[in-house]
Amino acid sequence: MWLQTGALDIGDMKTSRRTRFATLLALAAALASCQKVAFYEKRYLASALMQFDEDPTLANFQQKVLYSREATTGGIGSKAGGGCGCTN
Amino acid sequence: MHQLNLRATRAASVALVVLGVWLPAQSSGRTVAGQTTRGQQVVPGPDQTAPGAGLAPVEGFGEVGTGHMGFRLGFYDNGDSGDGNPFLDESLTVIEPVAFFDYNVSRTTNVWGKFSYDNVSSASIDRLSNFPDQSGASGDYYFGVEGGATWALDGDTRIGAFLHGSAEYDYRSFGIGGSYARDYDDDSTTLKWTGSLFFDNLDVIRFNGVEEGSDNRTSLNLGGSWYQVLNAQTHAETGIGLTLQNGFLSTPYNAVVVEDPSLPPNPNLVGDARGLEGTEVLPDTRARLTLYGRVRQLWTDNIAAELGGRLYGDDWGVFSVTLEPAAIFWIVPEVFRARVAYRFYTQTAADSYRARYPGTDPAMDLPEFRTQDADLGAFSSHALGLRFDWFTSPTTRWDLTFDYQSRDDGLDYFFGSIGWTTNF
Repeated sequence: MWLQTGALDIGDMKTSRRTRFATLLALAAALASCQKVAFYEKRYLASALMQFDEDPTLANFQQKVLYSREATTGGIGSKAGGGCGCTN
Repeated sequence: MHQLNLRATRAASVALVVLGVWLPAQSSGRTVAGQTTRGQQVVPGPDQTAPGAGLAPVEGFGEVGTGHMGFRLGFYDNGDSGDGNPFLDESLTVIEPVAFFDYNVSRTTNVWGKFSYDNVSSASIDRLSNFPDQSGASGDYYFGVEGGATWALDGDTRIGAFLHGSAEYDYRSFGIGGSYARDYDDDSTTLKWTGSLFFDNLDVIRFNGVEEGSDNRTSLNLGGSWYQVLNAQTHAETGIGLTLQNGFLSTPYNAVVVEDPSLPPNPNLVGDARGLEGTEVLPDTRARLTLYGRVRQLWTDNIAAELGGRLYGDDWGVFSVTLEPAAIFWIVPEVFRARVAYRFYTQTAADSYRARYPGTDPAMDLPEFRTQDADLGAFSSHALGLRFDWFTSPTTRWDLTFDYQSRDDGLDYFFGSIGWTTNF
């Protein structure tokens, strides 16, 4: 695993450290991008254009189609495994 | 493995840098009082006017006696142009009605239920009707019931639980699950943890009608998700899911065909091909890991855009990538809404998959694990999805959806639905 450095040589360790540093930097940048949004500023997020997963019947149907035709399961709005003989 | 890990880490770095650079540019100073969000749900504010806002299932906090209900009729069809499994006509049609409701029993308790039924017709069912006990597509029908409740422990914390039961011709399932969600930072952040366990039982009825008793399949699903308000017009969610399965994971009626030109024509195979069928055998354990995320942003009062993605890998050798950009917009503000989405999907083949198995004797010439199921093979697909919503009142919506998926292995499919949802 990339967190386990014991088996790596020095070159790998330097590369790995740089990569981890870049990852942490990027994560910090992403988190820093989050702005404090007050309660009264959230009207636009409550718009009918902005709702995630608003219809359980549609999610049920679409996800069932997809996980019965693909070897993948899980993810947004998806049952992760079990419950149907149709899964791959 | 180390190289792969480094590549994965670099890819994550690039993605995060892009996110970090792009999102700050989307800031806004607009401050209009109204509503708030709580993870995936909408909590109506004092001046809620947008049709459809509030149609999402409410996890507690709704007025007592209120709720939502919905119905959908789905249609799925795929033909077989001779691609995919060369020995099987994979044509399939499914009609699925689904009904859903949720109801606020109290200010802090919401109960919900979901009922679905599938009517399945397929070429494989027709062919296998020669064998009275065999269905061919895991049943000519599916009936499923789910129900659950969500409790608000306080203003920021909710727990949920659900039960699942379903029955098919040769497959039965019972599931139980739960969730814990907590809001932070004035509901700008929600962390949610979920877990579920499915106990499935199936009749092992082979492609030739031979019955081998019943067997079990167990699936443990663990997941975590993070919802985040990024600014006044942008929010996102990301998550991770781990699924551990064990038991009978093959599809019992699937066959693999050993081909030998010297064999006589086999009337059970497409085109009376010269081959003999053997059973599909897949490993009895499977570990599956999914990473996913999506971000949605309101560009104007009438247009929003979303970018979603998913990475998936399992120890059967399947790795997949999904990308799904979408635009959601008003055709007529607050009356007609549309969603246009493109979906790219690609997967590698399972280690056990082979398109062809040359040989003479299924007992001698097939590897221990083998499948010819095209859905476990390598393919890529491009899909176009359209959805139209008609808000007939501030509390009621009709919708039509159309999805067409084009696969590079030729197994294209279409699915569409009509739905109705209302608040009460």
